[in-house]
Amino acid sequence: MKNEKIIEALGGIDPRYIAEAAEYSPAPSGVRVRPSHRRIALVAACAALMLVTLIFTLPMMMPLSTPESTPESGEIELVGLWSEYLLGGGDKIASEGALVEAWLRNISTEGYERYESRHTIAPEYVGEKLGDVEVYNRLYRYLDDTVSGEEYLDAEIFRIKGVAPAVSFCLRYTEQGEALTTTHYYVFYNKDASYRDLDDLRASLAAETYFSVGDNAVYATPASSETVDLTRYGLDEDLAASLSEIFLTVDGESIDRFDSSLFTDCRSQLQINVSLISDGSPYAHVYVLENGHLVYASKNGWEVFFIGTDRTDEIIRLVRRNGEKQWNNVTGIYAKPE
Amino acid sequence: MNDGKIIELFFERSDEAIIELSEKYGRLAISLARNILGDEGEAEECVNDAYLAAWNNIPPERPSALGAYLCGIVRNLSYSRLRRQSAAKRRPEALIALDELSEVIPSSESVDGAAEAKVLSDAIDRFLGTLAADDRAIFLRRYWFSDSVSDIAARLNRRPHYISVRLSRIRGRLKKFLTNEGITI
Repeated sequence: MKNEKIIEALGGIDPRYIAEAAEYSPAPSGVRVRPSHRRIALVAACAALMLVTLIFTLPMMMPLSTPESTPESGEIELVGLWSEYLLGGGDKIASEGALVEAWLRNISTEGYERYESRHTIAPEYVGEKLGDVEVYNRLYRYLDDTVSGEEYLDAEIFRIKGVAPAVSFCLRYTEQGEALTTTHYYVFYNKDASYRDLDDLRASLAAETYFSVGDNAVYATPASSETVDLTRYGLDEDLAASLSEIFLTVDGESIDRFDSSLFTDCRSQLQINVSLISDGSPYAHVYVLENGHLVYASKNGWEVFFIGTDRTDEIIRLVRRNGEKQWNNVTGIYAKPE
Repeated sequence: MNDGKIIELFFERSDEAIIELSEKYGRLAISLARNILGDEGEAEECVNDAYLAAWNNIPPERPSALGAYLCGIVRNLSYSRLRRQSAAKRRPEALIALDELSEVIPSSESVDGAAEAKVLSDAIDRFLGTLAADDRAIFLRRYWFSDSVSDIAARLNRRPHYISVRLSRIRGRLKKFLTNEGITI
């Protein structure tokens, strides 16, 4: 009842304030404090602990920091949530911003145990049925490490059109649960998926269909031993199309091991916001490093490819020459490893 | 196209009015409905209903702020729809945000809901007038548009923790403001 009154009260406030908030954007200049590497490392640790991370919180400068750093206590409030991709609810954020609880979903049928899910996909991308499985759902509380609301539910799995089932598929429940529907298609992705090269990644994920480039990119270069100079460029449709074309055709062998020195030992890098929803990542980043590496960073982890310095230079120049410069900041977050 | 021209299109009963309204404010409206309903498909249906309502209401109405006007319709329709779905056990962002706000608004046992809501509405209006523009935007993006903390942070190029702290402080100020004015609901 109280909530109803609040809804009604907020509905009656001055439309000028609503219009102001609808269009509000911050001043484009000025130093902004970005998350420190310690905080980011903690986010990564939380994400690993959660097993499933819809929570894609790879902030803009993670690659320039050192993922091995020790987390500080009391900073889990940095965990974010892309709630619009959740269906069925159950995830709860405390007022301080920390993820308090979330529904975790794993397939319990043998052979599918490494598949996890956090979001849905539109029906037009659903292909033929692959089989029947049982899914273990439970409400997990991060703060006290407890599980409640456990349920085992039957479901049907379907191919995502063009996508290799060894990497990802979607699932529709055939019985109603606490925090899901029987009408939506939930994307499940294989945590162990890996790729030989960029061709393999593109083919496995049907990148021609599902890959898209966002509307901005951030160019970063160290400004001192402890700071980094960031410039954000807006990408218009033509530029985004050019970048898509490069990513959909460039050759590159996979680098087996993720090594943070790849990032810290290069003079500059470009982070481009992209989407490749078929791998379970509504939002992801492509990092183009001046030292010839291209990194695809999704909530499933990092995929590193060597494409050569000519190609990385070409991409970085393309964005810096044709992108619309939106803002420039110098922030104190760069930490080169000892 | 500016709001005045779009409203003129409505007055001329031109189909272009809906197209232009959708071009200019459709993304904002979808985002708002999605935050409240937690479902993309239903959000789109809701926004389409809002376009129809705008078409039916303009004329005779001539809103001073077209975006806020459309969002007001979307918000009302979304909450109406959400009430009908209470059995679905969802926890969209809007309900999480409401719980936060509910904690700082003093309670009463009165049954005259409409009158209380009007008093509270006027008080919140006055309170918003005391805030700096960025605090006002953060407050309204959270509690009127039901944006998540992460979305607000991304929008304002700030850390989520910063937004959470700001919201917490604004809620504290609101609680003090309402208490000083003797307002309960």
